[in-house]
Amino acid sequence: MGQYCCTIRWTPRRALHQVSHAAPTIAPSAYRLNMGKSPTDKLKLMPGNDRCADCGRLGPDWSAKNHGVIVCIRCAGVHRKLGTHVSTVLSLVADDWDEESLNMVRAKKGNRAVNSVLEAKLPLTFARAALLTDAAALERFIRSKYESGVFRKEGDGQLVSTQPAAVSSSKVAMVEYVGIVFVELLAGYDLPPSKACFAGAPYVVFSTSGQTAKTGIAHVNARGDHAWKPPGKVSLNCKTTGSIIAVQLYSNDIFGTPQVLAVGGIQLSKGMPERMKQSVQLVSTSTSPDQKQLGASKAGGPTLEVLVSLHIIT
Amino acid sequence: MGLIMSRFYDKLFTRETRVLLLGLDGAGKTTILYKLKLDELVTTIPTVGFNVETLEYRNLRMSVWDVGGQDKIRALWRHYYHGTDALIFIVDANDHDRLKEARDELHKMLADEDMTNPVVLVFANKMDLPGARSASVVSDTLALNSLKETWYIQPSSAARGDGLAQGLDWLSVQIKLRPVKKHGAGS
Repeated sequence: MGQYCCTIRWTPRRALHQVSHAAPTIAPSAYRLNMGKSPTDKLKLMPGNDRCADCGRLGPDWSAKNHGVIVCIRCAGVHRKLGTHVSTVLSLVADDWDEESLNMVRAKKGNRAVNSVLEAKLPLTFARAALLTDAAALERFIRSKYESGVFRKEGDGQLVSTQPAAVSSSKVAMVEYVGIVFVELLAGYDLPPSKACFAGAPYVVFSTSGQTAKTGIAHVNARGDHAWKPPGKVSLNCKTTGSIIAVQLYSNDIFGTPQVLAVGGIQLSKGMPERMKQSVQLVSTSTSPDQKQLGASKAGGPTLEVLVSLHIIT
Repeated sequence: MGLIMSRFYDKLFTRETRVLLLGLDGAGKTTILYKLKLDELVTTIPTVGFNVETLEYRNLRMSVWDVGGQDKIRALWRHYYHGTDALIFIVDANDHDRLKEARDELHKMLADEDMTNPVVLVFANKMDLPGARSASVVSDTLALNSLKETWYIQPSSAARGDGLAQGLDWLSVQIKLRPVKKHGAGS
């Protein structure tokens, strides 16, 4: 039913009107396909909620619930800055919604209805697209619209001046992740030996999307197998559901620079079970030809046994 | 040779303190982390994941973990408890409606068996906002007196940079007083 409603809402004329004020980031059809039947998904179907109420970005999934608007994650970040006495922010997907909050948003009848009140005096020439790239302009706009209410019918329609507080231009806390993956390293078999004199048992570095995480050092048993007890557990952020985690086996050389002994990869996919045991095949980086042959002749080659738990939040 | 000795010395004596930075969504965890790390007021978006940074403060080397506070990410907090030396719990003192929710989350996490007696520093944050409750009201609402852990509450404003250094001063003294914990493999 929800999907049906959505389909008939997208008349070409309306679509044209909607697309006019910002560059689309994903196609409307792709956005529609993601629709489910949860109560918060139904909020996305209200008029105007297919776009961020503030910057116009497509497919928003955050809400300033007391205003009844659906906004994107960047604008949600600005709303949080205003304080909960001005805006109360919840995620449509990462938060649990009670009936009271759902009703609060439903009662406002969607972004289009809210904006007809809160943006009544917004000049027609207002360049909303600029808000997508200019963080300072975005904060100024959101403060003017919600904190001061200057675009309401009774307001003067003028943007308020920005606060003098020095805000960093650093983007460190602006990275959009979709969830967290945990990798527990249990054991290693047929791992290539280190050639360093003072090498101890090896450790492993997992990396994805520019982040790295290092495990502790393995214990070696009488058969030469390696074990991590307790498991070498690391966590990494996921930027997309289909990321690959690079796996590097390092020699633990006490006096020298650690060297990569072997490399491999773990492919993540959205459909994978939440906690899954995997064998990761490694390729030795050793240049010695006899070692290469040795690796090739063995049935499995160097292998790490890992438990992967993928938690996709949004 | 000097390099070798210093490396050897590091391996023997440097202890990295594991600090968890937790609190409800929008309390200011990420803003505080980067205010401490960069001494800058960064613009943040909600953390759908975690941030981790190494901070050096008064001979302490801390790895500070800031994990997102939305309901579904809170369910993952327990993965980060093991080996925690210090918990920095951040409360939005201006968000009156959710102080009790913050209390429940704090007491729940400290009852977890993986959380082995950390020192607890509470930042009553956003003191710059006009409706902020005082540290003593926050302390009472969070029922800090009923905690068995060593705790301290510090009013703060990450936006202004107030109170953060005082809080870390207390934390560094407490951590130096503690016996060295034996950590398992993994970091």
